[in-house]
Amino acid sequence: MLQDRYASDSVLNDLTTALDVIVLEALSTGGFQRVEYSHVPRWFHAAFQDAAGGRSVALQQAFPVLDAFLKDADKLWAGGIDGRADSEAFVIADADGRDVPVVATALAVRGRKYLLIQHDGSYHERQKILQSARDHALEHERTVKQVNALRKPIAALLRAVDDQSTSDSPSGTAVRQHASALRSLLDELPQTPRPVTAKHR
Amino acid sequence: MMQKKICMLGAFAVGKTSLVARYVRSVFSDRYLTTVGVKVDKKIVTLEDGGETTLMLWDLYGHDDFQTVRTSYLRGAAGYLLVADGTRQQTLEVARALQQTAHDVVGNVPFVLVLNKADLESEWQVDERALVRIAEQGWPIMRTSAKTGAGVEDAFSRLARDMAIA
Repeated sequence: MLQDRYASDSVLNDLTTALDVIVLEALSTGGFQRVEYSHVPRWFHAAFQDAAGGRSVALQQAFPVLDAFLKDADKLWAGGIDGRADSEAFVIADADGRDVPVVATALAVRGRKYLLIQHDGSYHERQKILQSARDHALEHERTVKQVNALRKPIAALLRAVDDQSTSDSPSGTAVRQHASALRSLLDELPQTPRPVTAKHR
Repeated sequence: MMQKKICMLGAFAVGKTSLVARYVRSVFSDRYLTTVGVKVDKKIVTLEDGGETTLMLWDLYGHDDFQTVRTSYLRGAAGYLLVADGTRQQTLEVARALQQTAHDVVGNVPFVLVLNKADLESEWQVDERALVRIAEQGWPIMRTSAKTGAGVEDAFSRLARDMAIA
């Protein structure tokens, strides 16, 4: 049994190190305490020197974004049933001033309240996808702007063509047909994108 | 020292992160790198009465179809900067919608509408009549360029001053 206990402690440390996560437990007196054998990431040290040694810590001072997330976590923990709540990614600085994306997870497990803060390994992949989507959106906006800039001169040109090609000759009819086709195409070109309205979350 | 929370709100690619970088670290990068999640920067400012305040600048991701701003981030904000891109008219409309959201969450706290990218004057697209209507509603409007630094200090100082007397 004692051997199992050591194995479990070792596994916890190995896993938290590999995942670059710190496991904290909310204290009934307020504040948080590091769960024994949980790894303490370097970025956590940098953001919060007092974390080592399992002392109670004022987490929100080191990680201001948690101030918002812990309100959601408190709701989960007060609910009395097992579950989890995840924060969105937030960026902190490590000891060298480099950005480190992290994410927090609140867990309620058999009446205990855990908070995990983990290096967000998928952050850069998500950023790449969003970057691509937004680059395309910006490109689309630029294209629409160019198209809109062309609308007026083309419309003027079409009016001039109409005025100049009133004859019933085959060439006059052909010019009017081409002008009509061009007008239809112009109507089908993209319009200014609609602005995104604010949605509450 | 007293701390005041400021949220940066606006559509994507309007320059929120660049404004914070210019204001806090006096740097600018031409490369657009989209923000995912939230980053909080700090800056200590001296107010007109000589007192110091730490501004906690919450740089929130841009608001669009891909990411919508969580209202929980707005809680506790003493003020906010609404950022629009002067070369993209629709970002002004997003800013107006976000102002409504912010007002619903934090109430009547000070804010400043910032029209960024003032250095791109030839591409300026914001409808001046719309700005006049907004100004008539009492919104403070300022033009900034995170690229050149023009107006950036003034915009944050204006907000800090309004928050101090609110």
